[in-house]
Amino acid sequence: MSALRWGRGAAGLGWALWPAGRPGLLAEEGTLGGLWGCRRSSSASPCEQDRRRDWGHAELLEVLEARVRQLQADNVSEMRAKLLDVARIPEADGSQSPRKVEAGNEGAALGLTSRWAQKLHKEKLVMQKRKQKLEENLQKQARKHQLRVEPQLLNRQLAGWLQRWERSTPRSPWEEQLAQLLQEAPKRLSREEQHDQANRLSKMRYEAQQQRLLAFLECCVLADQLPLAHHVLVMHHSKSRQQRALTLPMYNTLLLGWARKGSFKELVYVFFMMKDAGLAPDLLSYAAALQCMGRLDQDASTIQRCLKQMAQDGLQLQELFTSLPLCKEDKAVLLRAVRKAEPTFLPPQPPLPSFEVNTSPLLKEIYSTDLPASFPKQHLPLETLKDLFRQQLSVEMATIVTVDSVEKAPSLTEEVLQARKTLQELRTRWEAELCLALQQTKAREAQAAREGRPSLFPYLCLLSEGELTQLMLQTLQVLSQQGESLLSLAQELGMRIFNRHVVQRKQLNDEVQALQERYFKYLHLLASDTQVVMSRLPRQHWEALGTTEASQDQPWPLTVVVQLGKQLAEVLVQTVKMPSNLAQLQDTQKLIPVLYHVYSFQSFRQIGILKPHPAFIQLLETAAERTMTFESAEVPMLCPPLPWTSPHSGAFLLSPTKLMRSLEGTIQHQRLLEGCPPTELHGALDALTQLGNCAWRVNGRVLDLVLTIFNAKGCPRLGVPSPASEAPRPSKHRLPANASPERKTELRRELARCLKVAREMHSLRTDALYRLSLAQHLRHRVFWLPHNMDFRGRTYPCPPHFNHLGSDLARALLEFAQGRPLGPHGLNVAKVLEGFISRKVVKQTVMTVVYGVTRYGGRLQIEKRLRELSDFPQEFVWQASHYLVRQVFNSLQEMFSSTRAIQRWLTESARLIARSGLAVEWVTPLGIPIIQPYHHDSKVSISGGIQSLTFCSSGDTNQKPNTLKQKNGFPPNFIHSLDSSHMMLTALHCYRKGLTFVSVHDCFWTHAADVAVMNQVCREQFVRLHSQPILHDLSRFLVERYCSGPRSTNAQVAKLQEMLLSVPKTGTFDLDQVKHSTYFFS
Amino acid sequence: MWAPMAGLSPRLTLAAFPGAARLCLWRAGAARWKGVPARNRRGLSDFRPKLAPSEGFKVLPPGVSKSRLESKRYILSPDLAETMVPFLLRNDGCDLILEINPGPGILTRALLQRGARVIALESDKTFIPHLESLGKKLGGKLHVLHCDFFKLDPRSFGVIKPVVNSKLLFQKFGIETLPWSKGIPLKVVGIFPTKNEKKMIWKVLHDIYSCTSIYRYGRVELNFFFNELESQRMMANPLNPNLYYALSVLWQVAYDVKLLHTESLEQQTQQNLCLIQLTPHKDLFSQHLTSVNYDVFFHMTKQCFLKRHGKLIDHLTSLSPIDAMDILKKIRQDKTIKIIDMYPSDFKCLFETIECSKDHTCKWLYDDFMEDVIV
Repeated sequence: MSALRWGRGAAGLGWALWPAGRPGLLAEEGTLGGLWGCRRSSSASPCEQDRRRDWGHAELLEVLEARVRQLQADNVSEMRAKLLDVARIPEADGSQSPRKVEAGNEGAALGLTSRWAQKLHKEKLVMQKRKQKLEENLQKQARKHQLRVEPQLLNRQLAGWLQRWERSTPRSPWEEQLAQLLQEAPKRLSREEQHDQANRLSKMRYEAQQQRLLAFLECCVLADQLPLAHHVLVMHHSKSRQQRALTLPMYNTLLLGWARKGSFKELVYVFFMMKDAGLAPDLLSYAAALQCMGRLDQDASTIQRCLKQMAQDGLQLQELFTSLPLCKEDKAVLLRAVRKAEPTFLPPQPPLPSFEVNTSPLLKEIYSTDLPASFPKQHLPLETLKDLFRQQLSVEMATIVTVDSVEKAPSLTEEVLQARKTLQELRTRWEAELCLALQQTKAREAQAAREGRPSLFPYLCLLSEGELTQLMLQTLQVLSQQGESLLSLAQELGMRIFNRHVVQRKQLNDEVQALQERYFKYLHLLASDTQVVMSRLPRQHWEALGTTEASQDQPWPLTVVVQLGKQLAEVLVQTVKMPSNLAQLQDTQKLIPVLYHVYSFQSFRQIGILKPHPAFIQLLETAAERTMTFESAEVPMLCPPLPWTSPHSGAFLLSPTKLMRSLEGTIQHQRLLEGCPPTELHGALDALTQLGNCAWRVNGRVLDLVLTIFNAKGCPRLGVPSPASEAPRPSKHRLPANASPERKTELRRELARCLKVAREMHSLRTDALYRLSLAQHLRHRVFWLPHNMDFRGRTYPCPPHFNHLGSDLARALLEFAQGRPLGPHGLNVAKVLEGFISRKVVKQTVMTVVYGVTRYGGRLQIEKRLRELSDFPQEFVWQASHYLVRQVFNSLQEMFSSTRAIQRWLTESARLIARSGLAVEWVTPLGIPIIQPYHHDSKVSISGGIQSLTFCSSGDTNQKPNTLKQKNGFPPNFIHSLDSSHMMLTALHCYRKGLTFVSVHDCFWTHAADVAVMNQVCREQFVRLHSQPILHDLSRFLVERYCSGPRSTNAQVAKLQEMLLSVPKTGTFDLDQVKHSTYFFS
Repeated sequence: MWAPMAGLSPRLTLAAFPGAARLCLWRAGAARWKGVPARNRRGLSDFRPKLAPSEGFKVLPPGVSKSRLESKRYILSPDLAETMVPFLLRNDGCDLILEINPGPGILTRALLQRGARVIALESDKTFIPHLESLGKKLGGKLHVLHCDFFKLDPRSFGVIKPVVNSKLLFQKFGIETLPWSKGIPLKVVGIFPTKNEKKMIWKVLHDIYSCTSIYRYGRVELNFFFNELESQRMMANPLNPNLYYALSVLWQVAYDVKLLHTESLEQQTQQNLCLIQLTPHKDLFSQHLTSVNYDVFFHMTKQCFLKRHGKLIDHLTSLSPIDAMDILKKIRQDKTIKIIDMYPSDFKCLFETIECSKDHTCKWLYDDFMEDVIV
């Protein structure tokens, strides 16, 4: 476009300057005119036009350039000087440049003298054109620094339309434009992607790019960088190749952003682009348009036209309020706009919480309203609980929790004080330096975004520089001596930024106030001194108190998370420096880096590691600061968790928590959960809510005892780890110089062994330190452990460091806030074989055979156990383990032949399913949809910066399933899912009976007095669960999932169907025996 | 010529053998004979007159067929054996040869005839009876053992079969230990396996630098056929930068690498095998490079060759917290020196310089934890 305008301008200039008709110039002008005319009158398709224009353009440039090159030699310096002048004039119009006029006059003066003068003159003119072109370029450069607002459309007709609108003064009313734009909208909703199976990889890359761009635009809107987002969209839109990657959600993101700001002009621009791209507005686009009208207080007729158009497009007005993820304020403005047009309009009431009930026969009793239910309450009164909520809220708003270490305080010697002072000084210095470095990084990234390169700029804007600096310094603080891999460090940093951002946004959106009101009402159900009319489950009660807002925070793509973290890690490595001699802080000293980027070689891979300077670690150790920092979601909650109501809402008040934990970047679980009918999940939601509602407190006497042992060098036998200083030391540290190489090797091995032991002890010790410090922090308090589940439905407490999972020590520290302490479980060691062979030796193997352990793995397991027996003669370990595994396998084959048949059926089915190109899915008896996230590794690499990062993800659904893992994983995962169903059923039934109940996988706890009830419930539910035709249900589900629809004609699928239908017979085991069995749970 | 024996029927194999076959590529050889009629199998013993009566092949031991899927190469030509003998027996006071996977025993025979003492470690059970009878015929100077040399002393140090424990093995043959500075206690000859080649190379290098496994007994000399590319890499230096790798440095620092002989494998493919002699350097270990800290040296070399065209000074910052300029000054190198411009000895010198630097409590950023080497 600009080239075009310039062309005409130049021609005009030529006319003006040339005193009389000269053939040479006329010819040239003719070319220009011809080009112009051709373009205007052409009726060829847009793409052909493009080509022609480009060609014409190129030819013109070529001519000019060749000429200029001739002249340039003697005029370079002069031109440079001029260019600098021009550069200073912003938006200078080429034809009005003073220099040019001057040149023109000069030419006119010389013009009439002679032929050579003419020639010279002509050349000068050409040179001027060249100059103009260069000026144009410079202007372009200047424009680069300001963001583009006006779109450049590829459709000529539309472009003309836009231009007419732009040029017309006064502008025709914009609502006209919008109405017209909407009217002639193309009928396509989104671009049909051309499916090219052969090009699967490039398609994946393309999709990842789209995902990143969308996330970028969304983040820009969140970070209040709307003009930048608009600029990037315009940039992409103006190039036909890049435009193809743009999707409707991207345009909609911008529309909504401008609508919220009430910026109409830009909104219309985006509509222009959408039309240009051939995309039809959808409900969200209309919502944006209406919202904008609402904000600008448009008259009724305009809005009516818009609504009419919407109806013509087949979009329902009601749906604007029900099916869009809009925030309250947006909806209010939208309603105002709609009411203007239709004063009588009533927004549809939010659908009342449906008390639709899960249809599973197993859960019938739980949700039946006929039978009496006595759900347990918290033991605390309403006011106390309210107060606890306020405390938890303030903790989560602060995002971090500072906890005092339980380690013995060092005596405050001069050295310690000095170290602390040094550390403090360093941190103050680093803070300022990091802030500065971040500013520079941001400026760089902003520039990248402006130039249309991929950029992290909006992500860096979400948190303030101060907050980012704090995050980085915390990372530095906890870095272990041996360092941490750059990849995991980056990922962690990225995730922390995301979480923090989510919490901040919730605060900004006034969600906190609404949450508090609702929670206080909810507490009436739980508090000991209040009653509610209807006895309901916590989730049901919560749902009855209002609607759940749709989650607005889409997780960022994993690449973005890692890239962001990597960027910060890089800033950290490059910025943080310390004096080479820490003893004396002087400015004159040479500064050395604190962090080093080193490589570790693991077989054929190289892993980048960030490692702190040993002197820095030494400094930290000497200073022995006694505080540690946790993320608020790593600490148990101080009030009852939010009940789980959907796959992404529940548990912590503000910190985002997922119902189903998964590796970062695996999204299939979340998709599956969101896709299934809400009632199907009730069993899982209620069971998890209930597990989280159990109030705990620290067993103070046990903690005192453990702390005493802990600070007196620990006692590994009692499960209290010793400090690494207690690790065994090599017998002799120095060898004589003439020692034999063999002796040296031995020493080396011994050293390495000692080091390894010390490291293990250190990590155990740190784990215990976290646990005990948190216990100390929570002493005299009541707290709650919110729960979620893994992809098989096994439940886990969310706080990682301090919970009831793990060693006896961990369990002994906890007790029910209302009730008696948990006794540690003794280990029954029954002697099975003669001699040294105890039950423990083979137990693992026996238990894991059901899960498909091979003979090789079995031998290793037994070998490990045998080695642990200190009095077993070590030289026989190999033979003995061989012998035993053979024995175990033989006897098991006889015992569990029907179990093995079932296992074989599961394995074979999974193999055939995976071979047909799909991951194995099933639904637990409780209705939780499960999918195995085992695929071939997909590699994503992030290049640039200090190191290219490549991460493999086995959960990428675009990859083919990993048949081996799918088939070997199916039997154990299926059994785990059944176990978890059993646990959840037991939990729900206990809850209905008013029992407090917690569990760790297959180990169930309740108050001692309730054990009998729990035992009974547990057995009953076991029998009921296994009386279901589990395998037939599974078979039916799998046939429907994998063998129906267009696939069913395939021969491979037919084979699969045959396999799936041949359900093996279950064992002849009499389930009723379980009810009377003593050893069912020991 | 290297004759592939695998896909051929025994008759065709017979036809191929009398040709110029000097080495043979043996794919799943034994397993495939299982289905061949006994009459044809007898034909084989015709070809190898010294082979034991065919009973040995009649019943194949169970389990052989599974693990013999990889291809194996054997020396078949007496000419080649004759070429090799002088390299191995050169009157240097060591006539004890450890032959790896001798197969039909062509080289074994040649060695024994020259009066060498040979220990044959054969991993394929099928050849054992034949080798044993060969030993008996040639006067008892041959010990045969069913054992895979390349599985000797696995680095995992878990529970191992006694047969792959070099300590027990060498004790059995009465091999005595010679100090590092003295002569060669033992010469190993064989064809380096193509399967897991890289892994095996690392194992050999770890063994020598840590003085474990066979190197416990002194400077054991290796004579191996490597494929041509690998042997070129072993001998590469800054003069042929395209082949210069971390392994080149590690090989040349530890051994005197000498190319003895090149033998073409198949005429069509122009693929060659090179017989390389690896004699450990007497001065491999010094005060600063020892079997205790060699892994740091390994790591340093590997890290340097991550970016071979990078400057040394850039690498030094992620190797050692010591000032890079100081180090360069000490090793008298310019700051523009690149990794590919440094000779193997320069790397050793660099390592020793950093290792002996005073006033630094921390000389290396490397840490045991960073490597999956199990010591």
